[in-house]
Order: sequence, then structure tokens, then C-alpha cells
Amino acid sequence: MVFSSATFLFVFLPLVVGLVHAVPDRLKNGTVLAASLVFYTWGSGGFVLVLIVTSAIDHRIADRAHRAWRRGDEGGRRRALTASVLLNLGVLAYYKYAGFLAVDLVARFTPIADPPAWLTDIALPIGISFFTFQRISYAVDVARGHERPADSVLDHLLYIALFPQLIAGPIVRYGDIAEQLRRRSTELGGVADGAVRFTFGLSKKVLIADTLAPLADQVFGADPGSLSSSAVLLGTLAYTLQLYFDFSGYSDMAIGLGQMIGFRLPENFDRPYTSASVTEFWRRWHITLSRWFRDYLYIPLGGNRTRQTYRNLIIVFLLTGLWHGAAWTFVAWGAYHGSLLLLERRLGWAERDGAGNRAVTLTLVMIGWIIFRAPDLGAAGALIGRLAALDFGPPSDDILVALDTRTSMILCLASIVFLLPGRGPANATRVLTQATRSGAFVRAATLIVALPLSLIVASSQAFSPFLYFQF
Amino acid sequence: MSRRLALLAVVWFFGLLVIPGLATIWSTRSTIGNRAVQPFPETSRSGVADASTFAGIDDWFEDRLSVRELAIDTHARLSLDVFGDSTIDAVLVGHDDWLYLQDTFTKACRDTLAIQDVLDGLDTVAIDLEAEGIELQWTVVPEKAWIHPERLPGSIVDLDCAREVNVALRSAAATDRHYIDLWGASERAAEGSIEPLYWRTDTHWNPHGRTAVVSSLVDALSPDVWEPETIVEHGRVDSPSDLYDLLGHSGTEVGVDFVVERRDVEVRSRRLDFGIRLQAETTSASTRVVEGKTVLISDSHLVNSSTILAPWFRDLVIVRAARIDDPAVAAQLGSADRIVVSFSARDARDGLVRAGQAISERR
Repeated sequence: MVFSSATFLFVFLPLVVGLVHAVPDRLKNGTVLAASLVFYTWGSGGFVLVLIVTSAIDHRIADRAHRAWRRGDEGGRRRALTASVLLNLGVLAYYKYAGFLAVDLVARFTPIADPPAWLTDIALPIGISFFTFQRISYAVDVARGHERPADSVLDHLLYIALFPQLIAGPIVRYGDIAEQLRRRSTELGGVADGAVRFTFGLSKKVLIADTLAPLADQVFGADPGSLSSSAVLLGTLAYTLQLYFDFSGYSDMAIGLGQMIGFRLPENFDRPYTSASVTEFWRRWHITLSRWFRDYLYIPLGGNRTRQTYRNLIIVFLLTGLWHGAAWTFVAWGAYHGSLLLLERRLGWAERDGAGNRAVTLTLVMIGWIIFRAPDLGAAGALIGRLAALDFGPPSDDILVALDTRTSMILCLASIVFLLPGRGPANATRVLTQATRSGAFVRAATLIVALPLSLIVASSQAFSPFLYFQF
Repeated sequence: MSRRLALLAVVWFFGLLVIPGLATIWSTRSTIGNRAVQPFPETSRSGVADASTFAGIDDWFEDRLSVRELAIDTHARLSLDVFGDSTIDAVLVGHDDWLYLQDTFTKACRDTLAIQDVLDGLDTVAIDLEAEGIELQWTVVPEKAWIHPERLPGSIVDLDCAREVNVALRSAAATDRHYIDLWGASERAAEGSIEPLYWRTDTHWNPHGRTAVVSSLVDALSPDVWEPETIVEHGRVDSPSDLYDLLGHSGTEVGVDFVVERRDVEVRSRRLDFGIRLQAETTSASTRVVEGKTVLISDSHLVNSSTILAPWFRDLVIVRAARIDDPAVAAQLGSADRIVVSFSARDARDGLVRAGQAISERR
């Protein structure tokens, strides 16, 4: 189920929030869990069983690891933790990477020319990358004794399956919500704040990101050889903004939904396009993922303290790329960002500031998005080549049709995110929560203007009339 | 946020979600979009494990959502009025808010039939008919993009391709004795008038254009029948718009209406499954009409012009092109003195071939 679908907006959301507030406290977790499983089944069908069964097994293993930690049984703790990590990564590897490995590695580099269909045609359970990382973080935190295990397998399942964050994050650590699973407040103020935050995210998604999508699709779907530099620049700008408003909008909706049912989920974005270095960008973009890789991979590899800092960085970013999808473009995008971070460290540029550095960083990030969005590495190279050709002729007719008045205006308005102050309280999501006059104004505008507009656009999205009707 | 404001915000937020959701229970299915409405998916035990079942429920619910038509209409109006943009690719917005159907420019380019082959085929049919004493004539009517190109948007996909196809079609047709040049007549009428011949938001002629084209058709079939002085203004007409319909926009367009006032002609009309039959009875010997039985096979352009056409034909059967294969049409074709086939430019090649086949197989 998608947050911007009619079924979610007009049925699921009001029904679930209403139920959660109507039932007594002892039934609240059960209600949210049932709603979360329905939510997941709606989008993934039978894969809900994979989610339930693997979570139950993982809960037992993590419990065992925690008990071993309490006994001081280091060997038992390590064995249980290894089993949990292998289980989770094994499930992820099978569903997400088996086809990629079979087609791109085995078929290419071994005599097995035609890998079997059971290996190449595997359906992907939605959100698997997110909940796998949450489960690993749970197992590690519990095995290290940083967190007490969930009170029951149902609480564990609720932590994993909690519907606001289940399919697209933020990646919530158990410590973030462990206490809230036991006791949380569901007050009117929280519901109102959540409604505002949800609306803010919904409008970012349907009014901005979805408007920019056709322009980006047009450019990235075209033959790169037919594009001028200005067309590639337009498409890249559109995609840069689309991705931010889509993903951060989703995170806002998740955080808002969480608030409405009493959960405080972590922030995931903090004005990433105002960063003055790529290092800073990764502190502001998909914050919960960066934090996960830092704490569960980079630091265990040795972090900054070993002589292999650069190796560690490259490993982390190759895996960050691969986490986003099973394709060489994602691997290359990860390697590109890893290399930039490595270079910044080497040159001492990681902590710089200033408008010039912001512009350079934004340019580097946008080049990264070309690699990320292109259908393959050849197309990515060709698009970057077209951009570098500095041929600023007019874009083709197809692109001009996609660049209608509304798209042009949204493109210009959305670009304001590039000009926001890098630091300070200007973050719109912070303004939303401030008890100031400007905060009240933004909240009112969000609910009175953006909510009806977003609902209008969301409700008419799937409108696709027949073209060949009899006039 | 104070408690009162929080309550207000919550009531507003959930009111906007709950009321349309609840109203859907009593709403009728959405007809907007002129497409088959998604049925409720078949449910079974195995269906629960299949995400497509739930996607089907999403589509089913979306089609029945109480505010859907209102949302689509409002979205279309906001896009047009605020940004001057269309909400769907099928409709292009030109200057002065003129709307154009994108298929006008793209469909002709997708056809693979050679124009000359189409015309040769029709000529063969016409010669066969002549032997039976039936006259076959055909015409191509232009879409508004070709008559009012000055309001086209700045960039249109495949404009050159469509223009090329149309030029070839017209030059081939010009040498064909069975061709009635309504295209040229439309161009001349447009040049001689400050009024446009087409609706701003519809693909069809407005009453002014309809009258101009019908006069040319009647003249071509039987000179000296048309009496321009019988065309009189008849108030204003509030016309539904097909391009607005495509956008889901509920608006209409208002224009001056015209009627034919032939005092010594009485028209009888009879609806048929495949079209309409119009018979003009004259009460004066000096009043002229197109004699004999005329069967007109046409798409919506001339079908929509039946009230203007009616007083000029002794016996006119208008067959909607979509119903050309109806068995009852064959009988009408067999008893005709004259068959006229008319299609708009984008459908011309395909339509003329289908009409030729139907006429050949009329027995």
C-alpha cells in the first residue's frame, strides 16, 4: 500500500488511527501490529509470511545472544549473533541479489551460460532492505547488551513491521522506540502534529516530486546521443529534486504517521543539498542509513582508527550502493561517493564551508545521481559525456513538452532547497514544530492549502482515459 | 499548539479523509474517463497471498471514490486556468487556451498503409458500383490543427510527419474524380471569416464551421441546392466538449447557434441502431434537395451535423463509422443511389479502407 494511494488516505489511515486511539492501552500494540501486517500484505501478498517467520526465528536467536552476553559466554554470543546476521543477509541475498549474481557474474564469468529461472526470476519482497537492516541492528544491539530484548516475539515483530517505516524507512533502531513499544502517549497534540507532518510529506511527494518525474523520465529514457547538454542538465536537476522531495516526503509521512499513533521516529533528512562537502552530504542525506553503516559496519571494520580507513570507506560505500539496488549503476554510484569521501579526507576538505564549496558539492552529488538513475553504466557515461560537451542548444521537442509551465515553476520553486541556509533553524520540518508565529503560519498553510491540493492531485493520479473513444 | 487548535487541526485533517471515504459507500461508480471501470477482483484463499488482488482492490476503490470526479475536474481546471497546462499527454494546450488532440499529430504517422494503395482500392470499388448505378464519393475532413494552426503550442511531437502525410493525402485525392474537397473548402471558409470554424476546447466544428462545411458538401453533391439565406442565427448553444471530457473537466463551451429555416421543407427523422435516417419532404415544386437515397458513412464530424444536413437531402441515411460492419448497414448500402464516405484526417487511411471493404461486401 502506498501512502499516497486512495485506499491508504481515505480508508486505512483514518481507520487505523481511529482504532489505535479507541482501543484500551493493552490492545494498542496488537492493533498497530495487525494494521502493519495488513499494510504489508496489501503490497507484498504472501511475503508477509517471510517477514513473520524470519522475524520469529531472529527473535529467538537474538534472545539467545543476549542471554549468552549476560552469562559472559562470548563464544555463544558470537555464534548466535553470526547466525542472526547470516540469516538476515542470507534472506536479503536470496531475494535481492541472487538474480543479479546469477545473470551478471555467473553467466558472464563462468561456463554456465543460462542460469536457472528459480535463480533469476525471484520476486522481491518490498522493504526487505529496510527491515533486514533493522533486524541486524536489533540483533547486534541486543547481543552487545546495549538494549534489552523485546518483551515478546510480537513486540519484536511490531518493531520490524511498524507500518509507517516498514517499506521505505527511516531505518529505526530498536533503541529508538524500545521504550515507546512499552509505553507511549497518544495525545491530541501529537495527532495534530503528526497530521501536519504527514500533510507536509504528502504535498512534497504529490505536488513536487510527481510533477518533476515526467521531465526526469523523459531525459533518462532518451537516447543520450540525441540530448544536448542543457537537456541533460534539466533532467538531472529534475531528478535531483524529484528524488529528494519524493524520499524526504515519504520520510515526513512516516514520521507524521508515527506521531499520530504515538511513535517518535528518527529524522532522515536535514537539508542535504546545502552541504559544503560530500562528507557533510552523507550526514544530512538518508541519515538513518548513514548512521547504520557507520555503527554496524564502518566502526566494526576499524573506522578512523586503523590504517585501513580508506579501505573501510570504500567497502562501506560499495555496500551502500549495492544496498540501493542489485545493479552495476548502484555499485558505481557507491564507489563514486566513496572515492569522493576518500579524496576529501586526503585533502582535508571534509569540514569546509562557504557558497563555492556548496556549489561544488551539489554539482558532484548531481553527477552521482546521473550514475544512480541511468539505465546502465554505458548510458551513465554517455549522459555525463553529453553534459561535459557543453552544448547548450535547445532541448528536444519531447523534453519541451514535458517541461510545461507547472513543471518549470515547480522546478524553480523547488530549487530553493539549494539556497537554504546550511545551518540554523530554517529547516521547514523544524519550523513546522516551533511554537512561534511563523510555525503556526506554516502549519496552517500546510493543512488549509496543501492538504486539499494534495488530496485533489492524489485522487486524480490514476486518471487515464481511453484515447480512441468515439467522439 | 493549544488544545483547541490541535482539535481543529485533527478535525479538519480527518474530516477531509473520512467524509470522502464514507461517502464512497453511497457513491455511484465514476464514469469519468470513458473507460471500463475496474471490477472488484475475484477473491479466493490463494488470492490473499497475491499482491495483485490488493492492487485490484485499490483500483476498484479509486474508481468509486466519491470525490474522484470532483478531484479530476478540479485538477484539470487548476492546471488549465493557473498554469495553462494539460493534465494528460493526449491533450495539448495551445495559445489562447485552445486545446488540441495529440493524436492529430501522431496517429497518421503510425499508419503503415500507403495512401495511393488506399485510393486505388476505393477507385476499384467505385467502378464496380458505377456498373450498378451507385455513385461513390469520399472526402477527408481536416482537424482544427490544420485549419487553425496559428493557435498550436510552440512544440508538438511529430507535427512534420503528420503534415507530410496530409499533404500526400490531399495531393493524391486532388486528382481523384470521386473526391470531394472539404479540406480546401474549410481553408477557404476560414480565410474568409474572422470567426473560427472549430470549438476552442473540442475537436469538432462549431456551428459556424459546421454550416460552412455542410454547404460545400451539398454543393458538391448537387449544385444550386444550397440556399445560404436559409441559415439563421438561433440563440446560443452550450456545447459539451470532448477535449474537456478527456481531461475530466466538466466545462462546456458556449457559441452562436445556427439553424436551417426552409419553410417549404419538412424533415422526418428516425433513429437507427447504426445511425439515423432523415427524409426531407418538399411542399413546393421549386424547392430543390439532393435527390435519391444518400448513405453517408462518417465519423463524428458529419454525424454531429445531422440537423444542418437534414433539410437538403431527399433521403439521407447517416451511418456511424464505428457501426459500419452492422449487417443492417449492408442493406442500406445495397439500396443507395449514392454513398459518401467521410473521415477526419487522422483516421482517413484506416477508415477509408474499412469503408471500402464494407461496401464491397454489402451483399
